[in-house]
Formats: sequence, C-alpha cells, structure tokens
Amino acid sequence: MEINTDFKELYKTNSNAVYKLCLGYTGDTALAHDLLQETFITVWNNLNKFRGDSNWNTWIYRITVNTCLSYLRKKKEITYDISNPIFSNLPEEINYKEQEISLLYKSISCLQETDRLIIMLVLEDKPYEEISEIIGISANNLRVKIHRIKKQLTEIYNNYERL
Amino acid sequence: MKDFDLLKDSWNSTGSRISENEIKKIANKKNKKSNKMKLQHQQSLGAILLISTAIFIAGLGIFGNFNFEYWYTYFGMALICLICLAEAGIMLFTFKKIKDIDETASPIIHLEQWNDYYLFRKKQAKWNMPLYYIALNLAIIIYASGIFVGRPWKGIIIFTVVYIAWMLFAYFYLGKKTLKKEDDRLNGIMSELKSKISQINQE
Repeated sequence: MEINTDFKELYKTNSNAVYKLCLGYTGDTALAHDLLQETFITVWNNLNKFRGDSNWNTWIYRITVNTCLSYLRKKKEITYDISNPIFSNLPEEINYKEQEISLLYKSISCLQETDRLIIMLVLEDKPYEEISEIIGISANNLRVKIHRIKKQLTEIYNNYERL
Repeated sequence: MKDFDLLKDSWNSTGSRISENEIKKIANKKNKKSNKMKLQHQQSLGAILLISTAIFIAGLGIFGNFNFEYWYTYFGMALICLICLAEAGIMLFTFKKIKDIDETASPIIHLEQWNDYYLFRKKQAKWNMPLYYIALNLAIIIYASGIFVGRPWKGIIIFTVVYIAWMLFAYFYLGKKTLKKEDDRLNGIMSELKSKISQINQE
C-alpha cells in the first residue's frame, strides 16, 4: 500500500483519540490542535521506524505521549478553555452533559502531567499491558499508579461538582 | 458523589471534536515542521550561512586581486574562514544531536534525551559564544592591522576606539545578559523535564 494512503488512514482512525489526549493534557483547544499536528508530523517522519513490535495504535499513542511530555510550558500555566462554543447555547440536557465533560477535563488538568496521560489512557479503556508499553513502566508500577490517580481524579471531580 | 466508572462513562460519551474538514486540513500539513525540526532547521541554516561566508571570504582572498601588502592580512582572512567553518562544524554537531532524539522511544528515554540535549546546550553556551566572539574579533583585528598600514592616524584611532568600545560593551554587557537569560531558560526547561521524568519513575 502507498505510504501516503497509509498515513491518511492512520490519521483518520487515530486523530480523534489523539486529539482527546492532547486536549486533556493541555486543557486548551488551540494547543491541543498544535500537539495533534505535531504528533502526526512525527508519525509521518518516523513511519520507516515502525518495526511492528507493537500495533499501530500503541505506537501512535507513545508518540503522542512523548509529544505532550516534551511540550514545554513557556511560562504559561494550563488554562482550561471553557469559552468553547460547544458548551453554550445547547439544550439543557445536552448542556448538562457537556458541563460534566468540561468538569472532567478540568479535573484531569489538575493532575500531574504524566498522571493526566495515564488516566486518559485508562478512560479510553486501553488494557493495562498496552498502557504499560506506551508509558514504558512495569505493569506492577502502573497498577499502583492507576489506583492512586483514579482516587485523586474522583476526589478532584467531586470537589468541583460540589462547588 | 461520582465514582470512577461514572467518570469513564462521561469520558466515553465525548464524541469527535474535530471535523472531517479539519482532519483533511491537518493530514495534508505533514510537510509542516515539528518543534524538533524547527530546532534542527535553525542549526542547519546557521551552518549553511557560515559555510557560505567562509567560501565567500576565501573566494575574495584567492580571486579578489587585492594584492595586500602584508601576509597577515591574508592570514586574518584565512583565520576568519577557519573560525566560520569551525562554528559551522559545531552547529552541524548540534544538528546531529537533535536529530538523534528518538520520538518513538519510551517516554523516560525520550525525556532524558531532551534533557541531555539541553544540558549540552547549557555547557556549550558557556564556552562557545565567548570563544567564537573573541576568536572572530582577534581575526578581524589581524586583518584590519594590515589594511590600516599607511592610512591617516586620526581615522585609525577613531575606528579602533569605536570598535574596542563596541566589543567591550557587546562582550561584558550584551553577552553576559544573553548568557544569563539563556542559562535561566535552559535551567527552567531542564527542571521541567526532570520533574516529568521523576513523575514517571515515582510509584
């Protein structure tokens, strides 16, 4: 198959999940777009390095994690972008759901950088073995971490919800 | 009170947030540069400019028919060429260092590679800029001393005073200020990278 077609297919299949990860990491739609773009530029430049040891998704997730972690703040702290028009002018029920999601993103942005990425992979329902491969830590260490992050995220979310 | 499974349900109910059009737009932008490529580009462009300068000066010295009276005028020109080439070599080495950073490695290795690169830049900033500056100015002084022979004293003195004043100002004020700024910037970046590495390592 042609590389160009391959890449477009990879992009189509993975871009939304990668974007969600970048949005949860940065808490900012514009930055998330930049990171999404940067991730796929890196994927494109490294296509020849893919050896097939893992599947394409795992490989792309690892590049996403690396892109997010090597993104440096430039003195700007994470700000959660709630000005997004999708959160306003919606029917009440949908609006409530969106607010819930918005709160979830906000809670994720309160976690440490690597914890944000790990928990988003858990939320995406990735198997622990795959997450451990993406993050590059042992499965045991990952289990301990996930247990701690889950607790922390739930607490932050419930605190926000009470406000 | 919500438990984690309910949060997961909320998360999974979030659909696509980028339109098909946007997907197409970004997919076609694969020729755009990533941050790593931009850093590489800065180094390669700098090296190309320095090599071109060295070739240009060497060309002037060889084919310019200037017939300078003193050998050290040519020596000054040759020295400028060598310094430009040496600096270009350092830039190409830095280019290679950035190129070697593997974005497909595990996050800890990837972050450590960036940390090593910034540590290298920090060390390099301390000796490279002052050394390049001093060597280039010495070469220019050697070149100029040949050119100035037989010219009116007044002009030579004015030029020398202005040149030395500028050199001292640039070295002791601008140079130190730039080095401090660069040092602070690199320290900030490295501490951020180290904090992320320790986050991954911590249980």
